[in-house]
Amino acid sequence: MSASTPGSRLSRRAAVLVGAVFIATAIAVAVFVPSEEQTTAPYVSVIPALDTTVETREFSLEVTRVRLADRVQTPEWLGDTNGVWLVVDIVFAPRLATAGIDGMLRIDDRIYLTSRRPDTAAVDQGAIGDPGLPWAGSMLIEMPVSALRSSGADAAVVQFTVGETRLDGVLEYTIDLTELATQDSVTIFEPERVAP
Amino acid sequence: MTLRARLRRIPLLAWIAVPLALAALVAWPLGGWDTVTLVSREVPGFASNQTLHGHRFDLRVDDAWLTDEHPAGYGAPEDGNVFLIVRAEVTNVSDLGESASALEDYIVPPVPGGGDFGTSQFVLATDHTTLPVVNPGLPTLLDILYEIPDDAVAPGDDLAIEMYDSLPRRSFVYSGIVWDEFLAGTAVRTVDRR
Repeated sequence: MSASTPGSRLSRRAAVLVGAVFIATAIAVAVFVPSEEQTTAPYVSVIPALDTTVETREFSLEVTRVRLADRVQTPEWLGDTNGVWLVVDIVFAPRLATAGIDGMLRIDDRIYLTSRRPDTAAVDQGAIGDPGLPWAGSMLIEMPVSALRSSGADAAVVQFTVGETRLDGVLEYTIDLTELATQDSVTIFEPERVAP
Repeated sequence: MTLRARLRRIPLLAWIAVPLALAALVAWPLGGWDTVTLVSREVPGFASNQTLHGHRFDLRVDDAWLTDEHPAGYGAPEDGNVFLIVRAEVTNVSDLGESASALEDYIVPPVPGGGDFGTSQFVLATDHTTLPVVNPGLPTLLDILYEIPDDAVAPGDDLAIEMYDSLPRRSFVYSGIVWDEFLAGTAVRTVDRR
């Protein structure tokens, strides 16, 4: 067997170098290529204050009042809970097509969905809006009382969406839950048309 | 130099370190190694006052009964069928609120002789809302409803209801988390007719 020549040693070094480059490239691709969540993230607009209308491509929305309550009722339904209700009153109008509003509450990394319990008044259930015709209603979120004292409760975010949110607009409204007093009972009504 | 001689010249540390490094490189994109220690092959039983503390849901199976009345006031079962209702308290211990339909594979009454009863409906026991939301940290009392053949379960039968836990795993097919369920307990309840 012949000893290795300088040329063969060089080619071995080159092979090791090429291999290292491939591995480094694979690591770089794994680390730096954006995830699907990042490439399809929605466009988030902020509602800066109560009674301020903000538009996305698909809808406009205004938050008119935010309350906490131990109990929520409609003329037909009584919503007792072993937690607490967040009641968000809004005025909503689709802009492009007939649509309903949906939403959720985010406290730190925890996501609370809108309640489907009331038959008549919840925004998630109640009204489908037509473009340019706003209506007023209430969005209900049921959560444990401990959520009001949890980390992030002073900057809880209500997110409003219409259908698919990937690469489309969503609205966010920030609430300091620690500053809201909890009422014994709140009565809400069916969504109603309001003047544009 | 022969191949054997060349191999002999490789230090012992390299024989250990290189395979470990290669294995780590393979495991890294797959999420790494996860090992478990077998505690017991016995599936524990849960009484009606005992809660299975899971990674996604805490489950407590309270009761089970047969009835012709839909808890949400919907129509009666088809001829030859009856509703089996399992009442359970569920607490979502994950960070993500879910529709109650996410519980479909977590509380499973088995058909005597094999299989399970399949698709179920979820009704909130307090106000009979169908398919309610199960938000994080909020105990929720559910009536889980299965339409089963009249003769599948008889009043007085002991039904061993399976309770499942799950572990999260990042999905490779689509974005987000998938949960891998595994049997974690059984709740034997004597079924009556109401």
